[in-house]
Amino acid sequence: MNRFRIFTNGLLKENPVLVLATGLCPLLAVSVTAINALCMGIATALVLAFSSTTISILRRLTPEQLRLPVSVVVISTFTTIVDLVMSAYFPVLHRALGIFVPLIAVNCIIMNRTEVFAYRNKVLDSMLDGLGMGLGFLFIILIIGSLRERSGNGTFFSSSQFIGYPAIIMVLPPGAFIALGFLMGLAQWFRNRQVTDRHE
Amino acid sequence: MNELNLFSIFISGMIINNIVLIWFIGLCSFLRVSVSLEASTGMGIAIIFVTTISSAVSWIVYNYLLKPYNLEFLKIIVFVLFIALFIQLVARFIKKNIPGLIKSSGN
Repeated sequence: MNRFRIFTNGLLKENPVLVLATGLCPLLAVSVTAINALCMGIATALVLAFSSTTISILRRLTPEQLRLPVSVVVISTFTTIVDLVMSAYFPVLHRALGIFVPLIAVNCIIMNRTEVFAYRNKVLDSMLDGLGMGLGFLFIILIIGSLRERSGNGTFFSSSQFIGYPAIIMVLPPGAFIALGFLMGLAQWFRNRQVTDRHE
Repeated sequence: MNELNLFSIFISGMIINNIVLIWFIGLCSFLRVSVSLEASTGMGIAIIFVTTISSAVSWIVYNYLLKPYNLEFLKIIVFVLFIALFIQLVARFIKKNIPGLIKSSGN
């Protein structure tokens, strides 16, 4: 598998959200506004890329039984760095994201990628995989965030774009499930169509 | 803390601040495992067990280990490490005593 394929794998073909259904907690909870979604996506992607790289560097030194504790310590170290940097330079945003910044440490996407990919592959490959998966997550959370803010609040990145009535349900918890459901359905339809195209 | 307060913490954790419906926490395993009743029951019991014990352990660690030495900034790392070690113990116990559950819930 070449490097470019590893990178784009996370963006489309094995998108962590749409295909693997991981990382749903921050995706649904933080996507109320586009700006929150963007920052959460960037933070997750950074932590994922750095911890995939570090774990891949450490993979020969780690005994089999200590994998989970080692990866947990590495991931939560990077999460702590992101958490402290965010609270120092973007305090308003840090308060808006709340508990979900520390929760990056136990994000399913990161756990999954370090366990499935970083422990079995070379350093550069793991870094590209982490970056690709992180950007795949960023992409989806940004789409859902903009969709929910636009339709539920009538704004886009806080600038007013009000047309008609806003559907308040979209900024409430059920709206997150509705938006994600439609997006997953769309992705499934797209994949099915690709498969049938190939058969014909 | 009086008993009424403890009771309200319990109720609020169960209903008002429900982690799945209100806070969206733990959705990955929730969506994965809820395919079958047997796996859901096992996972539910395992999570009750782990959250109960690890909450108490985290409280002890935070108040007696981190706070006296001003190490609060390490709380993410330390909490997650303690919980991960505890989960490995639970997983080993389940693997030995209830072998069907691991297979049905993936990991």
